[in-house]
Amino acid sequence: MGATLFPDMPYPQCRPSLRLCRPLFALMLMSMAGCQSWHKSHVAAIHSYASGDLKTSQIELQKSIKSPRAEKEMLLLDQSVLQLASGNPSAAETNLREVRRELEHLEQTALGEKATAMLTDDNAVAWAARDFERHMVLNMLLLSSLLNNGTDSFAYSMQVAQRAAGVREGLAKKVTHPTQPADGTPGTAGPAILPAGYSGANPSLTTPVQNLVTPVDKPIAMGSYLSAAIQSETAVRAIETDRALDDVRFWNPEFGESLASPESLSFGTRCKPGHGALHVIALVGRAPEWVPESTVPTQAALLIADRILSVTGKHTLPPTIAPVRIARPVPDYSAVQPAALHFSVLSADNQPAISSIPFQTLVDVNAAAVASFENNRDEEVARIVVRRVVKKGTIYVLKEAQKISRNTAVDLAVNVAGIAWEAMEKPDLRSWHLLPARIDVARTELPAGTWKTDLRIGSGTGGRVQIPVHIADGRNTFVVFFVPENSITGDILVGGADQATHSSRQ
Amino acid sequence: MFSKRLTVGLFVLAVLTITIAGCRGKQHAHVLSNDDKDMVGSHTAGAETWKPLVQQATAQLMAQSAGTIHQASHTTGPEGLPQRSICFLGVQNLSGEELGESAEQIYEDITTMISQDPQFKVISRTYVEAAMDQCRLTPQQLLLPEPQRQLLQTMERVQQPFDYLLFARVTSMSTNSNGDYQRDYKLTLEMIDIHTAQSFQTSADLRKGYHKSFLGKLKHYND
Repeated sequence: MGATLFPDMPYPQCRPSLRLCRPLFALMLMSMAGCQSWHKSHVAAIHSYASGDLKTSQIELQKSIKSPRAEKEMLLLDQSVLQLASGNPSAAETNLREVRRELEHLEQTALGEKATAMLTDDNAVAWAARDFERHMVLNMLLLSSLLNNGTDSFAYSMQVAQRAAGVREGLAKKVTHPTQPADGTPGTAGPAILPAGYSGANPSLTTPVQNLVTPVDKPIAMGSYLSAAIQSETAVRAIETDRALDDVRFWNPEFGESLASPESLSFGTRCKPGHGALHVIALVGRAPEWVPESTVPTQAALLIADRILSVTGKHTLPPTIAPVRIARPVPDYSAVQPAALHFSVLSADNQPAISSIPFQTLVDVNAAAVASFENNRDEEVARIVVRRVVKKGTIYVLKEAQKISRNTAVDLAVNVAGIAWEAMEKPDLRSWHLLPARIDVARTELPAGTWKTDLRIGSGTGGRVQIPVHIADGRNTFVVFFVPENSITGDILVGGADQATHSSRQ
Repeated sequence: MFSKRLTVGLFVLAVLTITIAGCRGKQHAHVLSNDDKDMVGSHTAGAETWKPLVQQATAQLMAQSAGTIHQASHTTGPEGLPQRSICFLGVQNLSGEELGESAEQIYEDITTMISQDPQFKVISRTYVEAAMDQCRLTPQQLLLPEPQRQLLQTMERVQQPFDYLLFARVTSMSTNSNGDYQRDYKLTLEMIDIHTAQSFQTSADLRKGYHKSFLGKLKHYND
């Protein structure tokens, strides 16, 4: 075989070189063997969800999940959103709980995977979700629990508080022991924060930490909001309720403005006697798609470096022809805006008792994804550079070990193989696709009893639904609906003090 | 010779790395006998925690309750003796850890244990849930006279009157030490006689240590 490939070379010389190439070819073949056919059905599932065909979406997603090489955790997260939109919060909660446990396990460093990633790409490392996605897993878990029977809602609310305190502590450490200045200028580190969790209402203590909050951590505000609702149903947990509300203001100050006055704190037992709170939660749009982006300066720098080494060194290196690509989110800003969401409460004669309750954005997943990309961009590029160095180094060592002379056919073949090896790298585009782009919330206080409500998108072209909701004294009722494109999709779920599922097709 | 070994070594290393990182194990299962020990949950509480807690707390509650005089009853047992009719209002999770499917199993285990005693009669869960839904009540509200009356009347209408309200609560306390943590679980059963407002409360505790490595047990408990 060697003689056929390289007829000009005597067999004994050619054979060892070919043998050397085998590991490279084997690696390539093994990487290619994972041809991800499950992607097709996954894409079909995403499109079906967007068009409102949840049944087809579930069938397609099941096809993907059954594939042995599929990214199970990622697909199960998508499935949980589908289950929720299909009016099955119990299945969604179970799914999310199991995936969360798995993701916690996968978050730990796996040296084997890291080593493989050095030889292939970041996709070799098991997907453990990005930072903001992990926040959203807990948020969606808490929401599913509230829409289910609420047995574990309290436990999840405690976990949210723990997570919020943990992230806050991490930010406080950056302030007290800054590795780099918080605002980019030297000597501006804030005062010591002890303890990091809750620094009360003292603005001089909260401000430096709050300055470090990026959109990546803002989704925590949703968990804190739901926690505040859960804690507020028991009057003796006033401190816990206040802490959760403080957390909402801390993680999302823009939304927190709506909680500034005591009258605005219409949560559970904080409502007027005989009244309860109604929270309307809209899951709008779709999370950004992650696409490959070439980092031309890095590629150019690597090319220059390997050319210099090739000219001055004993052996040539494969030129950096393959683009250096990283994953970048492409936010979809075409989603329905909060102003186009109309929710009103009707009186007995179907007249608006409370005209459109304004929606406000509690979580902006688009912003979180972009911030996550910016935070991790340098690290991702650095990993690619290291990977390229390892690959080029491997080629160099092989040439040295096999004494392959410069500018021979074998040298050329090894370089071509090296280029192909580098070209096989793919950026890590894995993400939670069916996550909404935004989570908007409207809230009002109503006298206990059953009310008819009217939900409308735009002028009604995106759907109009009227559903009954029961308000209980001192409790919270949640209405959750999905608007992936321009209309209401799937079922409208009612949870908390009332439990019901209503079809959006009336 | 060296280069040959290097080549083979590199190839084997690459194959091993990919194999180890990429292989997914097959799922296996086996039926447990009564003598087999329960598996110990590595991340959350499971059978090893809830089974003994349920057994301990329920047995204590029944013993404590049996020692009291039952003054009034709505129902009588097969031998004509008055039965204590219990309306079990479910398991309230106030711990920092989700119960998931365990909540249902805890409910069923408590019900089964109590039902084995002819002194007690646990009202069917289906009746309780239907009545609670109809009255739109939460378990906590039932300690107030008006909601309690409302529920009792609803249950009486379906021939399911009750003498006692039974509450089950799960609470926990976590102690962290550099990533390892100990969680103390407590199951509390509280039974309230609606005729006398007398309450009996029992609880059972179980501690569990969660470690990031097998040395964690040795480090924290010298065990």
